Amino acid sequence: MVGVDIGGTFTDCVAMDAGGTMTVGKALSTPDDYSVGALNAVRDAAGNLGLGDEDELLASARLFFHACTIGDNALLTGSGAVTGLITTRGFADTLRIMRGRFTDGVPESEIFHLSRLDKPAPMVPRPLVKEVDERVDYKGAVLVRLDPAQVARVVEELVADGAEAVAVSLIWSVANESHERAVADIVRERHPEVFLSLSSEVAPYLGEYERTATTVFNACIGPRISTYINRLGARLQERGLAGEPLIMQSYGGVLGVDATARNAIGTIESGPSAGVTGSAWLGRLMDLPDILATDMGGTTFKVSVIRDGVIEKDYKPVLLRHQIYATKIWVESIGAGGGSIAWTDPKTGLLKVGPEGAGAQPGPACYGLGGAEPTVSDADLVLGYLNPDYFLGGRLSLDAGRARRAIEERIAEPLGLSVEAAAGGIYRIINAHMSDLIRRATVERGYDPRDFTLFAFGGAGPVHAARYAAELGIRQVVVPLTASVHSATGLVSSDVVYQYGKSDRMQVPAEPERVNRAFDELVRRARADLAAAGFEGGGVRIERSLDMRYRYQVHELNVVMPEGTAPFSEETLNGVYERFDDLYERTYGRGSGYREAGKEIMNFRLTATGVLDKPRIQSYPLSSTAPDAALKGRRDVFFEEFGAPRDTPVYDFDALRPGNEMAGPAIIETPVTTIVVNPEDRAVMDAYRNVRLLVGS
Amino acid sequence: MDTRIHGVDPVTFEILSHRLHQVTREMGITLERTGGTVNTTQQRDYMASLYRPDGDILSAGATLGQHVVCASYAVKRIIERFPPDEIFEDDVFLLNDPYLAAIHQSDIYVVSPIHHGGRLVAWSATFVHVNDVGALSPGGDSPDATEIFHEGLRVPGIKLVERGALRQDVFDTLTNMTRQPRMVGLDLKCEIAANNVAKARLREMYAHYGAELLDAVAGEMIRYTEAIFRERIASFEDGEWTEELALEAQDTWRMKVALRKRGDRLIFDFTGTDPQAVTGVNLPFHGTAGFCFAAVLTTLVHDLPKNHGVIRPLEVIAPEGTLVNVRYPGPVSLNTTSCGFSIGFLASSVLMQMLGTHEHWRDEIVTPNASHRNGKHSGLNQSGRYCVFNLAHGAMDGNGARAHADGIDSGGNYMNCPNAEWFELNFPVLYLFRRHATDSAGPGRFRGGLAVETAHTPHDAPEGRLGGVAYGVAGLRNSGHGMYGGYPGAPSVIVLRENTQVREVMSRDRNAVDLDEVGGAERVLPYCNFEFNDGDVLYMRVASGGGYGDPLTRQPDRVRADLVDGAVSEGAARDIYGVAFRPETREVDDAATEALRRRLCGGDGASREQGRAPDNANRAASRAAVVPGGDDTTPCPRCGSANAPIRSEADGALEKHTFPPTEAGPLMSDLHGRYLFEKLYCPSCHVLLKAHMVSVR
Repeated sequence: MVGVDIGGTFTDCVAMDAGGTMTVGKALSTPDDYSVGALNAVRDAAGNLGLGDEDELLASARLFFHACTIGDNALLTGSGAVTGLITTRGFADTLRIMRGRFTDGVPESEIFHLSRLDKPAPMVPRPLVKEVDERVDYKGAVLVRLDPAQVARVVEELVADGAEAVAVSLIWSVANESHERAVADIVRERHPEVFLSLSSEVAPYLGEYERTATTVFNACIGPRISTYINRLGARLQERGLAGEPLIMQSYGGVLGVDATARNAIGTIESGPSAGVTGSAWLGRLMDLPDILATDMGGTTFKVSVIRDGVIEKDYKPVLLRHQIYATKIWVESIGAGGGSIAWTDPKTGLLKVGPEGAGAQPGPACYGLGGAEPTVSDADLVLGYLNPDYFLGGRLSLDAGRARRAIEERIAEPLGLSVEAAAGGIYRIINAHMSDLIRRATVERGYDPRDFTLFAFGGAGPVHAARYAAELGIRQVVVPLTASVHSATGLVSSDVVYQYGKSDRMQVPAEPERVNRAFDELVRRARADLAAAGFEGGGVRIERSLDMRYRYQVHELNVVMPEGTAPFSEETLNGVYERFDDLYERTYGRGSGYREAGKEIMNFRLTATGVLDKPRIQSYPLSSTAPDAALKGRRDVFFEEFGAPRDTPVYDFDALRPGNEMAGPAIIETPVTTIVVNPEDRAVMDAYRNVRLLVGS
Repeated sequence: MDTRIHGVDPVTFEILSHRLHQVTREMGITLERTGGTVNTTQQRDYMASLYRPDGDILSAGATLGQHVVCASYAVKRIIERFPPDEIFEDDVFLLNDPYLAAIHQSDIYVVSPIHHGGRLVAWSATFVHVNDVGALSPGGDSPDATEIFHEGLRVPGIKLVERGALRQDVFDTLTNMTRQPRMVGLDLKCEIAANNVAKARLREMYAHYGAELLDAVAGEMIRYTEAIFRERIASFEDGEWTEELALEAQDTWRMKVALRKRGDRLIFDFTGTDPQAVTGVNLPFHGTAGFCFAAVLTTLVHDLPKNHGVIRPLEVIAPEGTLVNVRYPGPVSLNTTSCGFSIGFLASSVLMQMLGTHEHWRDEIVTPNASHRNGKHSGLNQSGRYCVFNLAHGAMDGNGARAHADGIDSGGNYMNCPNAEWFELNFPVLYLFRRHATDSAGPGRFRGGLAVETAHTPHDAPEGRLGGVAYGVAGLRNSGHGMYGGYPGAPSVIVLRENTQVREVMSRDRNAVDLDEVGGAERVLPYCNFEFNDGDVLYMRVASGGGYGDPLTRQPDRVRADLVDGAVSEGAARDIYGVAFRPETREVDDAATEALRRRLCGGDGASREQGRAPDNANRAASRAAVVPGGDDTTPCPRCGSANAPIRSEADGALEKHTFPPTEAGPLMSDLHGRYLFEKLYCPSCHVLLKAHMVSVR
């Protein structure tokens, strides 16, 4: 199996053989044509395997998995397709009005700053929004019929104005999609080259703003994704790949080329999704069903939740400050990373960290690229956690003098602190912000963070993880062996997963027949898609669920239907309604439930999985606990428990053997990150070569 | 005052103040997810905050500021009413008496003591606007009420939960007095849930950090905010700024404010405001204070911890028996959206004038908005259930222009509006359109934000009709006001069209988006109940933002962009902005624009087209008149020193021109006969300094 993940700077390749041996390849990403970098990474892996060239590896690959950032980049840089929108007359401004809500994705600290707030830039220029006469009501009844001649006229106008893609989002298409279908037929007939995105297909859920935003984003990136993955597929097949590339979706699961092209919005954040998928897989191997997957990079800290082996999903994620309807792995994030800037107001004597970051250029002061502002990485260096000569395995050398100076001038002197105390303050504050986020992310869903194991990814993650875990009462932190190529590893552990859904409001108790009919329609589509992808019989898993709420509410909770009970009887459904009440109380607290209000079903959802073989991961016999062979040196490191720098052993990750144990304080240096073992903690390398930090033991 | 923090190290201070704010945020999210009414679940018409043991504000959530203050009163009233030995751990209290703490009865405060180690260490409080309180009119806002006893249930303080157990008898008694007991029940439940969240989180914090440290941080946070705020106030020159506004409905009620800045204090003095009304527009004193606090929150203290330190430098003078300090038993049910919003406008208008005198703070100006009208319906919905629903359009108000940028189109007031489809699913109405209103934004160098206009008609109402209530700031000078020559925004109006042709238009397969075609007998609604029958259409336009600076100084390219986007009409682009376009390309014609602008700029009024507006004679008659400047603090940005205000009693003498209202834009036609548009120019350089509507009387 081969997995290739395209990141901002590097493209990673992981090749996994049947025995679980993993071989890694890396290459620079190639923004002009990412498929070049992808093949280079495969070539690098082939070389590391001792194969002649990439063709040999591709020819022997049973499956090829891929995660790409094409869609994300197109949206971020505004280089998506020129997109036209066709909508119901009277509703052209829906996207700009945004329901008046526009602070999603705005940092907490800016929300009160009225004079500086703005809406996000419009996704479609107003002249490319075209209205047509037509109206359907909530029952699906047609009140105003669609005029094909009028539609043809606006389609011609859009194409004349350069539209490469057309999004169609009509009011109440979720109750009756015939008008959207008719518009699509007209577009296809006249301009088959235009990429089409229909709201009734992309996001068949109630709420015209979110549905339209989703449909437009999909149109905007659709042509780019489609071109890219088709080209990549052709190239790989030329080089000997037997099948087609399987593309990672934002909900964690892969799809083939055609299915991906149809629903391009599904590729958003596919790399990070692969990472979380990999965490769930590792968790299964390690018998850890409850995981908080955290990732602390240069600018952003993210956390996702895996509960009972299942990755928590978000059905209404925010994309570029717009709320959309798409199934996505649920991620909470804040502006906190190695590049987060620390600052102070000399008048008040307050110390703040973030949310502004120094970015890659100029980056932290210690990078020596001209950055003058002290950052979290500078603090980590001053405290002795980072090794100036072995950062990223020695690829970048850090300037400790600049780091000290930045902290001294900007923080320590104004506050009357020592440089170490100021650095220690920066370190504590950023850790507290991250633990606040994790606390919110878990308790908001009714979970207790202490029940979880924390996985630490990202270059800065393992430097901080044991501290933010300790604040939450978490007992175990895992720094996975695969941390450096985690997304690529996650790819090869994925299944083929299709998602279906539809809004169809029903009052509880609903007629079982209607419920079964609604699900059957989704099941029919799922079976057809899975069969076309080569999955039938035992290799197929179907999971049905309902979004439910109390009457008049707008936020739903997703209740999974019991397995193997379809078609659903009245009795089964009653059990499901009970489970909604339980889930509600678990999520929002005891006493919050209110059955008397009446319940309703809002959305039907279905997840169809074509199960793929999972790679095994190589495990090693445990050797002695003594890590002495891996001791690479000692240096002074600052830990808050001691109040002064302390001579601390430094271990080389590559030289550690499974079974080795290290009592804190200690430092473990890996080629991609640094693991800080705090005085109260213990580190163990397990049989898979993951480092586990046992917090407070 | 010393602005440095004391007694706590800056790192711990930052960590704990961040965490306290997170708690209020979590409380807010709980309200949104578990509430019943649309105000709570979708509009963010709620409040969640923490208080000190004495009821002083500890940490205000990112929600409606006025309620943060009133809930502080609520906590203090509970402390007065219940002896300490009757306040137990896990008690929850409820209060909604406007003569004690609430603003009107629909605003239900739920407050809880928080204990640690048997000692009361803090309070939490929430407010939501419940859907019904059993007042004269469904939904609470009761235009016909003449005393508090007509306005529904009024609770001076009661235990809703005792030692963690819900008092079902109390709960049922309260909900039983409302028209929608289930929905109100959900609202009360969500408040209990949010208070439970606060309790759990604060107890954890106290257990972790200890009472001594947390109490010290709490005290220091308040002291610190107060010190910084006072220092900021002191950095302004002492001065006085005034503003007036009238509510014009059945009667006219005038409100006045003078803001006096004296040293490090701000005094909002409402002396001169009319005696209280027989209609429920009156505010209790704490409501007036709350709206002043809210105005300060988004300006001078937007970046500080929001707590009692914001209140201490403020003084509010509101004579008893007036609109801003109602005497028992005057009615209050309409007050939040009438006098309340008006106070918000008055307070922010004088604050903005004050900001204009400060080199640093001038850039924070957002032109003030006198807010919008709103409506409610009640009756049987399409499933035969009785319901009351708020049209919640205020979330789509256009925001005021800024000193450096246009106002946000449909930016709202930190609230959101549900989707049209959500309304249509739950209630028997059909939206004809929901769009930005062309020419609604107040013109200016930076224009205001566009308002949204909507129209809807009953659809599938089992009884063929719905009840209606019209409320919200009445009068045509509502909406945004301009500054420094920026024009006012179009008024917010509710227009009922009876017996229209709406169904006939749609039966001809045309969307009914043109109100002239829809026809019907028009009635502009004041504060009133009305009947909404099949075939009627309700047109609503919310507030538009006022402009900033002379529109003739707006960059022509921006005017062109507005024309292309439909934000301005060609007529307004030409007559107000003085921009001429080449007819073939619609590109800006620079030479013609310059000539047009020279002609339009105050110097040569007589040469302007005559007879374009009906009572154009006014303009010729008045153009030579030189009158004392109306705006004490307006510096002439062109020829006067920016820091030398033109004072009415001294050197300032402005040139005044008076026009018919439509001079300010086509949507001002509603103001005909009641207002004149007055422009005040600098007599020496003719730059426009002030542009506003003045009453004809």
